Amino acid sequence: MIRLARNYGSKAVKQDFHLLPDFKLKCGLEIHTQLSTQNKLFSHSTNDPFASANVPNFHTSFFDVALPGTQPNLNLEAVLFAVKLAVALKSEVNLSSQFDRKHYFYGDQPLGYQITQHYNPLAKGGSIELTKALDGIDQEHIKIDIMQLQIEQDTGKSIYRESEHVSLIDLNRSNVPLIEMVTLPNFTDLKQIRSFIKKYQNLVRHLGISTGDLETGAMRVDVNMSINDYCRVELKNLPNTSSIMNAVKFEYKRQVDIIRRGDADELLSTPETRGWTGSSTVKLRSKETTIDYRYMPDPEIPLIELSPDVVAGVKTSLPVLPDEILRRLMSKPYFLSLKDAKILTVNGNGRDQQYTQSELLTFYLDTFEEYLAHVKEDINPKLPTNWIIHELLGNLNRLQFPLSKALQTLTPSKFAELLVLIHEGTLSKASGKLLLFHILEGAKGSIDLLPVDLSALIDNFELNAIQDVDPEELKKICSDILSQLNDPKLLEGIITGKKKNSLKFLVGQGMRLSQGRVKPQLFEQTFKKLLKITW
Amino acid sequence: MIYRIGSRAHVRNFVKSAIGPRFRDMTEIKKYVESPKWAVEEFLKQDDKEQIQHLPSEETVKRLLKLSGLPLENFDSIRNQLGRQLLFLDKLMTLDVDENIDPNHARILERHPQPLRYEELFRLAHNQRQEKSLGETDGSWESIKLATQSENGFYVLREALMKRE
Repeated sequence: MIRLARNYGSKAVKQDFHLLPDFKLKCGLEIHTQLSTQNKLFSHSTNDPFASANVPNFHTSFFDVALPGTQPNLNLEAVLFAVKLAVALKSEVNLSSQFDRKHYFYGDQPLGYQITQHYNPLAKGGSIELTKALDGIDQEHIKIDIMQLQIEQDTGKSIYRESEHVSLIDLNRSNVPLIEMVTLPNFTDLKQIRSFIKKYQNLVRHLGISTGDLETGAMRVDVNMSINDYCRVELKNLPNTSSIMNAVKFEYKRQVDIIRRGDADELLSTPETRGWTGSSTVKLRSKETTIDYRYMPDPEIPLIELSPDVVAGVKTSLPVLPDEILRRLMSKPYFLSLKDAKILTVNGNGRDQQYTQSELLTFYLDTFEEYLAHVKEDINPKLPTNWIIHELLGNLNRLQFPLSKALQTLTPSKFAELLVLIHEGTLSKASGKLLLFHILEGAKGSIDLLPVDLSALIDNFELNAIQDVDPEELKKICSDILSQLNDPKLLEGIITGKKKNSLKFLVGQGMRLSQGRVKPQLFEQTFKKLLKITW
Repeated sequence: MIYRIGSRAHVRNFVKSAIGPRFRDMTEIKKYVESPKWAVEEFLKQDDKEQIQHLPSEETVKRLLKLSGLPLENFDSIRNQLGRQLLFLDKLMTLDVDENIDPNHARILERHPQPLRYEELFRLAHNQRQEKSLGETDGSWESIKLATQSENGFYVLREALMKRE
């Protein structure tokens, strides 16, 4: 064991990693996801595993701490959440599944066993599809098969104080519901693994069944991997995506080294479990030290007997799934880029975010519809995209103002009105930006919010774009700007066409002087005339 | 549980003999013979010889104690108790049971619960109540007060239960 660590366990992961054609990687994933049910799995105490940061052992019922004589009482919300996931993954829901006891003795497991589903899990089969177009994998399309989904309890948390030979136990997390999802070993490269994890994470967030955060441990990923069909190695303790990727890279190199040295029959002939230290994988368990879990059906918990209409009911209640939304957003009439479509679809962790994806998506679609109704065939799909995804979200973040609140004053129909004004040239982009910020800033400080009166504001601030610009006046403004510039090099670059972009600087000066009420194109044309630019 | 299995058994040896009222006709006799009565104590009576035969090996007991995180103190007493339990299980195994029963339902619960329908599952999932009598209400009791050792709201475990890797 020590020799193994010395020979194969100390090489740092190199940046220039690539898979070698003679050494085929085969991977499967096992993902544990905490369900965000209101209460715990086998008691009704509050499911708030992160309360441990403040008050340890606060959300614990008699059953959670395993007081003798207490019995499990299944939380059906966890079953409902699990069925949602199963249906979304196209898994076959087992209408008669059961709970079993997995025995092992550990400080954070007060019952002495974990209640899980070993013999008859909630669902089997199903798949997740990864594509080059949506997920950025190298292959056009691959399907990752799901082996099974099972419901089980989480354990408590241990804080180790090695020097004192003591561990502190917090049972707030004990009995929190988890779903374990196991895939077949369908992964053959790292991009596929990364894309799958992102996709699965987004799916559980989209379904509203979990926060899906890796950092907090709400989602935990174990990797099973083998090379050239030698025995599989299970990698555990991988706290985030970069750890997962680095651990796989390190383990790949370690196993390739073993095979090249001719030691594979000795060192890769039996399965083993390895942990990740942050720079290398280390052996945790091998065949000799495999735990005998002594599984048995839990005699205290009834079977989960579901009527077939549960599957049908859940199917009807599911939201449109993320891939379908992405495809819709990327086609007519929206024509969003993948990047922008993902902003509306891929759920973040919700921290420091002023909106939820579903709020934003609904706002976008409603605004787009209103905008389309006004402009009809003359549509510019980029306008709603830029103004919602870039301007609006940018302002909300800057002001730390939630979208739900902003919606009270800036309803989709008001926002569409703003877009139409810009679309028709009644309001210049620059004025539009000022106005939007002004509206949001004002809304942030108000208590009673009413839909904004755009026309009144535009009149008040005289933001209307000047429709009939006097060419002579424009010429004078531009000449003044040029005379005050005093930068012959810049002008030369613009005139010769070597620095075309610098013309934008001049236009910007013009916009500033006209307070954004003159269209930038007019400034551009006038400057070109004055400087006799031919490009 | 034992009675339930017993009621399906037809092992004459375990029928307790007793003098009762006189049988009046053949039907009563048949009914009596077909419904065995049980003396659990007699059925489960264990003699010393049997117990010794059922003693698990020292190695097995040590392994089980290790798996359960229990100390090796009282080793002989624990080994004897296990032996008695094994003998008990062996005796249960001699009974005639209904093979048609789905082992999935072999638990102390309703054997054929009504499958949950969607509406009901949805309703039950969303209408849950925390029971104070089960300690489910936040902060309604302090679990660590039952612990012999605690620190700042945490249970404290000493080295015997520390992570072994």
